[in-house]
Amino acid sequence: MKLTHLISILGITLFYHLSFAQGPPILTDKPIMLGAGNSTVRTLTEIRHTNRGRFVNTPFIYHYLPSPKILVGVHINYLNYLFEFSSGLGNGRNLGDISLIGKYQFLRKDQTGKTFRMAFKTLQTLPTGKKLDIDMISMGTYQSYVGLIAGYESIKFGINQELGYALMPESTKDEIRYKVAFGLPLLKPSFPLRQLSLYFEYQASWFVERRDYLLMYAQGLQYSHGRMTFEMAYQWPLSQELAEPEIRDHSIFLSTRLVF
Amino acid sequence: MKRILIFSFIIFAFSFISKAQSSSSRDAVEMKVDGLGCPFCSIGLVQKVKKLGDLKDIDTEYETGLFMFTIADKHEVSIEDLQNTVKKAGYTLVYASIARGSGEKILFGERPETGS
Repeated sequence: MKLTHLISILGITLFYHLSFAQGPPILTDKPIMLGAGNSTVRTLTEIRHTNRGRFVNTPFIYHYLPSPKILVGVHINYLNYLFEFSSGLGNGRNLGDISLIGKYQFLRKDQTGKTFRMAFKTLQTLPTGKKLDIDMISMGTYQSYVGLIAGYESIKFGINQELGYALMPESTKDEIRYKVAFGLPLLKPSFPLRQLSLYFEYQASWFVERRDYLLMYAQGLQYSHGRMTFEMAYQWPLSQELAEPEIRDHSIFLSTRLVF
Repeated sequence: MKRILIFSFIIFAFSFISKAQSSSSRDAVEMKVDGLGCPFCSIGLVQKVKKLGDLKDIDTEYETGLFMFTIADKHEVSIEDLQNTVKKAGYTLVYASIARGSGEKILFGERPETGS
């Protein structure tokens, strides 16, 4: 535990001293949008290990910007699961929950080489997946999330944060969620875009009805070349108080995104 | 030998003239765009600007917010085109200049002091 804290503190210190510019965070959302008419296609494969088993989610994500301030999109999860033998749930693969996303940027303050933006976000999740009780992948129940995103990006440093509430009427997993991401570029800003960045991302979840909590840290690496971006991240819990079967071990994320 | 020299001179003169014609048929555009905080952010702006027409020599200085390119003069890009393009990309245009191939220069706002 001490080692993870040390790595986190080192990461933040490096960020404050060395950062120049960065791209979009890997796991945290951002209020900066890429212009009206642009689309982004993304895969964000997650290999999640918990006390209950191993779950591989391979989503297809499509985002479209009808205006510079509005983003709409769909996230289609596809799950491959392998539960521990004792759970009796076995293994298999199926369509996970499908989510519809909407973002509206309501604040924009631009200056030379920097910008501060804020956006509302909503994520409406449809119960298209099995009731496997796998958070954000296959709950098999309707979920409604609303959140606020704030982001400051400059050629000196950048930070993105998200605070929101996820409502699950058919479950006791209502959640207050907070995410924060710091980026550290390893290459100087260049045009055409060619960038290698490190990411330090935290996610805190407070399950209000159960009084459970989960604090996770993710170390990510991102490479952008032109309109293509490749990302990977390793996420593990720093602290958690969850029901025994839900205790997290770690997750690995692999992502590709294309802007067009 | 004399024929070879004359032929070489004609080729050289022809290529020089055609290059001069080529460069004079392009407008040079320079913009100062506020809000470009990261290279990734400029993808949207580049995508939008490319829709103005046949672009070349695109370059960006992130420290100063300067965004430069040349465009074939047949597109007759205007300050209004640039304002609309930057607005659609979600950024703020504070300065723009269009240097026509004909020598005419159109300005919007004041050029920032960048040292270049």
